[in-house]
Amino acid sequence: MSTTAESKLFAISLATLQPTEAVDWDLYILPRDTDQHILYRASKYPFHAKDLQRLLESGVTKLYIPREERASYQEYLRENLDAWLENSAIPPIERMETLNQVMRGVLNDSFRKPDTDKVVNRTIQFGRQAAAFLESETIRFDDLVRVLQHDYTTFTHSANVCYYAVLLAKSLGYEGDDLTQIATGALLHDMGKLDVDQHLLTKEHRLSEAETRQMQKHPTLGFRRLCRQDDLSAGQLMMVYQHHERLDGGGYPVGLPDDEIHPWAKICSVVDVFDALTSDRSYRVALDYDTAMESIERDANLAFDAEMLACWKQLISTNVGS
Amino acid sequence: MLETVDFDQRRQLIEQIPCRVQVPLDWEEELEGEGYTTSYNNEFRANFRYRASRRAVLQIGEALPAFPRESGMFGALVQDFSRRGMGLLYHEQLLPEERVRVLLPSVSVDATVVRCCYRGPDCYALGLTLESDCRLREMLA
Ligand SMILES: [Fe+2]
Repeated sequence: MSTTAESKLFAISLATLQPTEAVDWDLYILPRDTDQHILYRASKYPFHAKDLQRLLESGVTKLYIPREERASYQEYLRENLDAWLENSAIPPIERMETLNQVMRGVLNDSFRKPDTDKVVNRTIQFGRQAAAFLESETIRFDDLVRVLQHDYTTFTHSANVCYYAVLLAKSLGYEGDDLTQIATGALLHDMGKLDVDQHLLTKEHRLSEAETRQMQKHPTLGFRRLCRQDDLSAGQLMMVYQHHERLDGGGYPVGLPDDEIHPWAKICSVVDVFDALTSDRSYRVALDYDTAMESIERDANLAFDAEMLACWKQLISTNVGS
Repeated sequence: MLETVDFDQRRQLIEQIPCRVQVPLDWEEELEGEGYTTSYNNEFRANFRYRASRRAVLQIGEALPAFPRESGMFGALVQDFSRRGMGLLYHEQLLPEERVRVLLPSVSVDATVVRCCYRGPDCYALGLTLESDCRLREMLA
C-alpha cells in the first residue's frame, strides 16, 4: 500500500478486494492520464465479481481509499487472507504481495507494542499461511524480491527472512509442519531486538564495542522472552537463540561448534545475512544478489553450512519451486 | 532458597557424584588461585566477584517446555562467586532461564542461568544469578 500524491488517499492492490462483499470504505479510482482521483464506489455499496473483472480488463490494478481507513483495511485483509491465498484466479505473485502487505502491517503493529503472547499467536498464524502458500505455489525469486520491502526495519526483515527460510527449507527437502514451524521461527528470530536500545538499530555509523555487545544480546533476549511459550518447539527457539552462531565456533551467544547448532538455525543464519546484505541500511545501500552471494560464500564452512549455501545460490538463480 | 545441612554429609555427596566437565588445557590456569577479581569484558555483574574453584553438584529444576531435562544430580566446577551470581563449568549446554540448584558443602542455592558459553567438548561456562543474596563466607566453606 503506498501513499498517493494527495496523501489523503492511499493505494490498495485490486487483488486484495474480495468481490461480492461490500467494503467499509469509499473506493476511489485514478483515471488514466489524470492526476485527479474520483469516487468509484461509495462505502457499503456491493462490489461484484463483474466489477472487478471490468476494472482488470481496463488495465486498472489499484484503487484508492481514505488514509484514515488504514486500520480497517488491515483488518479486512487479515480476515480474508485465507480466501485470497487459495484463490487461484489471482496470480500467485499478487497473492504473495497481499500476504506480505498483511504480514508487515500486523508485525509492525505487534512489534511496536510487544505483547509476547499476541506476537506468538499472530506469527503462528502467518507462519502457517506463508508456509502453505510457498509450499504449493511457484514464484520466481526475482518476482518475490520485487514485491518485498528492503528497508531493514525489524518487522520487514522478519517477514523477508520468513519467506526466504521457507524457500530454502523447501529446497532442502523439508515439508508440511516443519515448513510451518520454520516460517514462524523465522518471523520470531530477531524478537530480542525489541529489547535492545532502538537507536542502535538505526545508527548510521559503526557500533562501538560496548554497543556491539548490547546488540549481540538480542538472540538471548529473544530466547528469554519466548522460552516459556508452550506452543513453540525446540527448533523454533533455537532459530531465535542460535541464528548468529557460526560453524567455526566464532559466533554468539554461545560460540557453539558446527555439530551443536540446530539445522533450522543454520537455515535462518544463511537467509538472515542474505536479507541484511540485500536491504538498504542506514550506513550503506543494498548489495545486488551476486555481490551479496560472493560475500556470503567467503564464509562457507566457516560461518555457514556449504550445502545450504549451494542450495540457496541455486534457488535464487532459478524459478522457485520449478 | 538458601539452606544449611550437615556439612560432612554434603561434602561426601559432592565428592561421590562424578563431574563430567573436561577442562580445556588453556583453561586450567583460570581455575588456579583465589581472590577478588573484576568483571570480565563481555559480562557485567553488579557485585565484586571472588575467584575460587570448588566442586559442586547441580540439580536441574523445572525444565523449559520445549527442552525436557533428565532429572538427577551432576557434578560441576564453580569458578567464581559474588553476592548475587556464580560462574561455573558444566559438561553440557544449559539455556537462559533454566533454573538450577547448586549444592555446595555448606549451602544449597537456587539460581537461574543467564549465560552459557562453549569452552570445549564437555565444557560450558555458565553464568548464574542467585535467587537470594549469599554470604561469601558460607559459599566458600
Ligand atoms: Fe539477529
